[in-house]
Parts: sequence; C-alpha cells; structure tokens
Amino acid sequence: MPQRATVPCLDPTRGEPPPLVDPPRVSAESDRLTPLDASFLYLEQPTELLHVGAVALLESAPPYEDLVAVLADRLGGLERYRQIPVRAPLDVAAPRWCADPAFDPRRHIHHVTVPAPGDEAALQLALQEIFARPFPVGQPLWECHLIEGLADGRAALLTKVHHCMIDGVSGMQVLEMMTDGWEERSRQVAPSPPTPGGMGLVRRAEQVVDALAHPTRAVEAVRATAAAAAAIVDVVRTKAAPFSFNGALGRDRRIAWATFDLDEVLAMRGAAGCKVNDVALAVIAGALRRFLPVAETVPPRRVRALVPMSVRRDDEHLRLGNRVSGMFVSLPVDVADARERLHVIAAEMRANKESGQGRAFDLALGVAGAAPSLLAPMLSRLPQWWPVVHTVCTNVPGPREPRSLLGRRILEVHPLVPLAAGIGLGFAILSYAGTMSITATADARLVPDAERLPAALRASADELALHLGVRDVAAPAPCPAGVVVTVADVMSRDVATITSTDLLSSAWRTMRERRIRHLPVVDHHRRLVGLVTHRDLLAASPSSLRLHDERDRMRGLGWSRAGDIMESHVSTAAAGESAADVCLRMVRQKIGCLPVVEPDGRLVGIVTEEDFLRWSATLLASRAPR
Amino acid sequence: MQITKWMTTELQTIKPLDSIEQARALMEAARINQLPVVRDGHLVGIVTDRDLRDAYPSVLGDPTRKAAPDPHTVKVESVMTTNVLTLAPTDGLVAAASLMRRERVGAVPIVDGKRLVGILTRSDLLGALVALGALAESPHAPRP
Repeated sequence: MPQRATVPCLDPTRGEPPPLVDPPRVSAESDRLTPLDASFLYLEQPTELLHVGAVALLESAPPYEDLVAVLADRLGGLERYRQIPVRAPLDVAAPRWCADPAFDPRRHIHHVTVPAPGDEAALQLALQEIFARPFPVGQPLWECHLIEGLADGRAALLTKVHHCMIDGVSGMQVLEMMTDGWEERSRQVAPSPPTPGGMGLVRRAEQVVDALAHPTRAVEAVRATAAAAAAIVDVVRTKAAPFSFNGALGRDRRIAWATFDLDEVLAMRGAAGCKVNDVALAVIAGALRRFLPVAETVPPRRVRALVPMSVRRDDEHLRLGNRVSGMFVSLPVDVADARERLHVIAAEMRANKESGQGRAFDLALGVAGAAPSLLAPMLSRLPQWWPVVHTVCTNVPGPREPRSLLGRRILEVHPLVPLAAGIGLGFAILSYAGTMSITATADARLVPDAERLPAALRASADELALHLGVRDVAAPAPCPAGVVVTVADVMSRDVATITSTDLLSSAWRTMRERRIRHLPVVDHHRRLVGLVTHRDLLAASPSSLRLHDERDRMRGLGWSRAGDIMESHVSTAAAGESAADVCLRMVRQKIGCLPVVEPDGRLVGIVTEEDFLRWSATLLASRAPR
Repeated sequence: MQITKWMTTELQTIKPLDSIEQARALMEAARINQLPVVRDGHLVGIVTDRDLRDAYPSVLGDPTRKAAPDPHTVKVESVMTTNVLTLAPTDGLVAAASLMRRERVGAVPIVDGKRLVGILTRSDLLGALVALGALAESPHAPRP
C-alpha cells in the first residue's frame, strides 16, 4: 500500500529523509525530548507504530465546524501540538521539538462516516483502520477523528497521538481539556506553564541534598536500586516461551473492549484486599485462560505482562510527555480458581513494589532513552518470536464524573495501546464515570479471533465477582416513607486535605493533630485526586521494631510524598445519597471512609465509620427506654 | 439488641509465639483487620492490621535499612496489645458502639467468663445499625 511506504517518524538512518516542503525552524523555544520520550521515536518500526489514544463515545455527533473550532482553540493552545520532533543526524543528541511553520489544526481533525448499521463492530473496524495508518510526515504527530453514522445517532471521537508526545495519563488530560466546562474547572488556577523536567530537577536536587546529609543512605539507595535492577535483568534474560499471540507483527490491528461497573470492581477490591489494578489484571488473566488454547494454559505457563505505572504528579498537569515507570507481573493463566488468580497477582505486585522494581525500571528506561545506540541493537537482536514480555497491561484513571463535548454527553471512553516487540496482544484499562473499560489491541494475524475477547473478559469478571461474594449482598432495606437521612446530614464538612506533593511526614502530623485516619488528596481546585490513610502511612514508614519513637519513624518517611502512596481509585459518595445506602456500601467494599464530592469532583465533606456510629448510637440511645 | 446476634462467631485466632508473618497471611486470607491472640483457649491479647503495618519494614523500601527485623522471626507477642477491651454476650449494641467510639478501636472480642466466643467489628456494628433502621431516622427530629 503506497501510503505505508512513507516512514512514520523523522529518522535519517531509515531510508529517505522526509520530503519537507518547508523545513521546520529550530526556534528559540524549541527544546529537546526527554530520554524516555525520545526512546518512543527510536523504537518505532513500520509494523509497530507507537500511537496511543482513546475513543470517546458521544450520545450524538457535534457539527464538524464546531468541533474544529473547539479543538483548534484548546489543543492548538498547547505548544507541543504545534511542534515536530526532529532527530539529530545519527542520533548523536536527543531529538528537538521544533515549531511547525505550516501548522493548521484542520490538517489534524478528520471526519469519517461508518457504513450502516453502525454497530460496535463497525466502529471498531473504523478505529482499526485509522490506528494502523502512520502519521503524515512533516507535521505534528496527532490527529482527531469524528466518526459518525453509529447506531442510535451516536458518534465517536478518536484521538490518536504519538507516544513520544504523551503517555496514558497526559492523554487523558488532553481528552479532559477538550470537554465542556474545562475552562471553569481550570479557571481558579491556570495550569503551570510547561517547564520540561522542572519537577524532576527539584526531586533530583532534593535527593542529592538528602544524600549529602546521609552518605550511607545514598550508598544503600544505590545498592537497593541495583538489586532491583538486577532482578529486572534476570526477568529480561529468562526468555519466555511465546504464546500464540506473540510473533512478528503485521500492520493490521484488531480493537475490542468490555465495560464493567466500577462499583462492583471496587467491591471486589474490598473483598480481596488488593488494588483496583490487581482486580483488572485478574480479570485479564481469567479472560486469557478462557481465550487461549488449553495447551497454553497448563502449569507452569504464565503470561508475563509489563505493567506501566504512571509516576505523574498532579502539579504536572498538561506538562505532556511520558512519566511512566513499569513492573513485570506473571498473569497466572494456569490457575483454575479465579480468587487464587487474583491472590497470586496481588502478592506479586506487592512484592515488586517492596523490592523497588518500579524505580529500577525507571532507571532502565532512562538509560535506554539516553543511549539508543546501545539499546536498539540489543532489542533487535532478540528474535521477535522469543519475547521478553508477552503482553502489556496499562491502567489509566479517567475522570470520575461524566463529561460532555459541545453539549453532547460522553457515554464511554476506551483507551488504545500500541503493540511492539513481538507483543501481539495488549490491554488498556480506564475508569470513567462509574465504569471501567478494558480494551484489547491485537495483531490481526496473530490473534485472528480477537472478537471473542470481550465475552471472555465479561465472563472472567462475572466469575471473579461470584467467587469473591460481591454479587449476593442483600439490597439495603428501604427507608420508611417520608424519612430519608442523607449523607449531607451525617458527613463532616470540616475536612483536612493534602495535595499530592505534600510530604508524608506532614500528612502524618496532620492526622496526629486532628486525630483522624483519612486524608483526601485534592488538586488546586479542591477536586479529589486520591486518598491517603493512616494505614498507608504505617506501611510506608520504617519498622516500629527498629525505630521506637514515632518522630523518628516520621523522619524515616524522608522525601516521600502523598502522590507516591495515595490510592487514586477512590470510592466516593454524593451529599444527596441515602445515608443507609452509603453506609452499606462502605461495609460491602470494606473501606473506612467515603469522601463526599460534588458532580464536578470538588470535595465537600467526608463520611467515616465514626460518623455513622455517632449518628446511629445517638438515635438508639434516644429510643431506649428511660 | 444484644450483640450475640450480630457478632462474628467463626473466629480466626493466633498464638503469642506465632510469627507476625503468619498473622499477616491469616488476616489477608480471611480479609480481617484484627486477630485475637489466644493461649490455651484464653484471650491474652489482640493484634491488628495497624500493629503489623507499623512493625513491617517500609513498603517504599528503606534506604537506611540496617537489619530491619525479619517478619518471619518476630513473634506476635512482641507487637500485640495485651490490655484488651472486651464485652460480654449479654451487652447491648449501644454499649458496644459507645465503647468502640470512646476507645477508637475497630473490633471488640466477646468473652463469656474467660472463654472467647466471638468478635464484634465496626462493620458488624454498622450492618446491625442499618438493619435496625438507625440511619433512616434523625435523632434530632422531634419524635411523636
């Protein structure tokens, strides 16, 4: 196909230089790509396009011209979206971001109509075609596609961006920017201007200062990181026998998704005492067990998954680029019991975190990005059918509240991941407005029956919910007519909060002073972004058997910040909900508090077990015979 | 409104000389946050999820790590609380709620004489209170 002969990125070592009509100017404001961002340019192959994106399902189609206006206004305002990455000759230096002199948002915003009946399969077919197409050379590496003609008058908006520009989290922030009410949501404090690496520098400076003050600590930190790095090298060295979905990739992809009730996922997390991410991975493991040929699920066959972790902080909003680290986990497709699969995954993820694998991985990615000349031959020498990892499972938290675009409600959001390095099947997990989507991207040749995946994912989630006993909880007794006690009656309105960049030691102090055990983490607009509990702090602090004094343990938290340990998938309540319903939800999900939020995500209060106890104890006491 | 109807009677317990790693594994498997510590059928202490998290090395890794104690060798008795608050099976829910609130504890073992017969957790208590309609009425509303 002729359009595929063009090389998708500006790579002087690969064939013809791109035919630029007007070479991009290296302007004063141009800057270099971070090593990690650059690695996504270096690693790209014609059959392994590194596009990331998301598809938002809209209740109806907005007029194309209105869409162009709003996207040009919002995205055109982002410098990165008007720039082209230009590689240095022979890659002696990191590529530079250079302004596109001919930038025109219209060249990036497209319009397609799918044929009748416009069902999910037709939409997925359209997405597959668009996603398999490389970006035209010589212009900024992003596109939006308005897809019309879907059943029930619905439409979809596909965003497709090169991975060197954004990771999953900043991808969500960009989608967020395009939706209605963004100005209001961001008005109070304008996003800080992009200062690449600013935060990283502060962090590094802190670490250096810290290391100077405690020389032994620095040596120990290096040793610990080296040990974790050695573990990664071990993983990479132990070649994993391939699964049927591993091999040389073709150009065509299949995209398929399944959507779940987030409330039930949170209940599963509560029942198993693990992370939301662990539940999602267990659903994927169960789906693979159903999907793969029986011969591929006999012990000890396990699917080795790379799980990228975002290390973005909320003050880095709209800084774009990649802030990811990662871990390896073995999906136990050889285990028949659903609960056991979840248990195995949760234990391994916990062990990885404790061993500092994520940090070591971050280091490895940093080195890779800085020295492509070393990494590229290393990767290319590994035969593609003999993969280091079998699959990728990436989890991106989306907006908690429903969003709309040009007045049209966004019904669902599905994330899209790229495939590379012999990985013919990858998964992306995204939560949005009470739902969780698991979207599979598959190589069309290696996974010819990808359309079976959604049913496998749904069956796996059903099985897990039944095994964990979260499906047969009795519905709360209805309130007596005329009397409805709401969350607003019971909740505490004077809520202590922290931001994700606050030090854990100061979180500890706040909890001590106010005698509380839950601290909601909010952004500059007082929107809820996470939760830190006293339990989290106890787990993060050094052992009480080594440091007896609480102040020493607090000091032992060092430079760790709320963002390092906070839970970002937080169950919330609305002020108008019935208190009894919300109390039972807390019991069912085995959680100690529910932040109370407005529809726009702003924190207005908190209800804890204590609030419910106080309320009901007062009532029972008043009923008791005197 | 006696607590016997609402307490958990399928008890998980641990012995004082068991390791805190055994306690952690048991709590994780049973999804509970408190374990009564029992010697010869008698309650001698209670160990909570918080005690264990506090005793374990940091999950963030400990760069200053100088021989953090190995959870496989640390005994439950070295981290448990020995001065345990208890209730009797004949006590009522209101008494249980006020004790738990006053003492800020998550669960109270129920003992009959010296024998451990159950445990009442905050979750048990909240479930009971909702079932009794205690969250469907306002204590501040005028009563007929």
